[in-house]
Amino acid sequence: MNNLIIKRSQLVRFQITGTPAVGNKYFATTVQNISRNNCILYGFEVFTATQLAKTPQNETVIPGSTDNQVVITWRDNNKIEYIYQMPIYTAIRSLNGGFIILQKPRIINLDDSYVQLTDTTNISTDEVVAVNLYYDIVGE
Amino acid sequence: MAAFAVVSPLVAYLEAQGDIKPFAGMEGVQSKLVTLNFPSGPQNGDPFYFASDSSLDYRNATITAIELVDITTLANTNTQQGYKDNITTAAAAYGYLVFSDNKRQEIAMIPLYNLVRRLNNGKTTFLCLKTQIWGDCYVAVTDINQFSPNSTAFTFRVSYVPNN
Repeated sequence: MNNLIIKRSQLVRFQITGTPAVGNKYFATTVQNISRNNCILYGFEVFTATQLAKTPQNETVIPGSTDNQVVITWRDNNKIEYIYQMPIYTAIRSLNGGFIILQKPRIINLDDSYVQLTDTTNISTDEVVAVNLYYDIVGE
Repeated sequence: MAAFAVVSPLVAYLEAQGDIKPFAGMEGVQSKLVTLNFPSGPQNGDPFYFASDSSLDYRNATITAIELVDITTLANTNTQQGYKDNITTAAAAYGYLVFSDNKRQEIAMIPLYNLVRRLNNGKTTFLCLKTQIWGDCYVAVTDINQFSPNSTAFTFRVSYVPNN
């Protein structure tokens, strides 16, 4: 069995802006150096407050008890939703035997990727879903 | 009769790219414990830089794995300020580790909780860092009140491959 090797990583946040609502798309916050269709994603993992209570930007991360209420969708640079509504529980490393989600390396459109809530219980306005991306830069 | 390994094309591709390796594989040629004390007057978001260690700089080593040694794994460690307790995993949820390279770019940011091996089914966190400057890497916290700066310290086990 294999596990991922971190070459570069970046913490990205999907903020629950406004009153939390089921089905709304909450897009990734722009990260300038990887938001130019230049990020080749090969793995990712999600954090709740159990693993990371607050982001470096001082935003509160969603509680661990809500790890079964959120799904994530990744879009590539052709706007294709190639991972569509994956439950984030699947991507929390410590809940899945220490494995990190691997995928076929793909250039992503970070700003167009998003999370959705399937239940708003215990999720508050302005909380974030924190996701670590493991990636290469195009051309490097 | 010889046995054949069944390997998916994706796994074979990712292995060839250096994106993955077997979790039971070699973590590194050497490893060392590195301790990090809190600076005086630590604040949320402040970088707590590691002491410079040229043996872990990119000129001399490729860092291949890292783990955070928590208080359950090892109760305390001898630091430059004497023996101090290692941090708890509850506190680890309020901190993160940042690797910086030789251009002072932040190349990787990892929450500390994820570096605790026993919380991740014994799997260490693999790295492949070839441009790091150890003295520019740091730990930061998001709530200093979760820590006891005077009596605790961060301890990491760093695996690396020395450059020839």
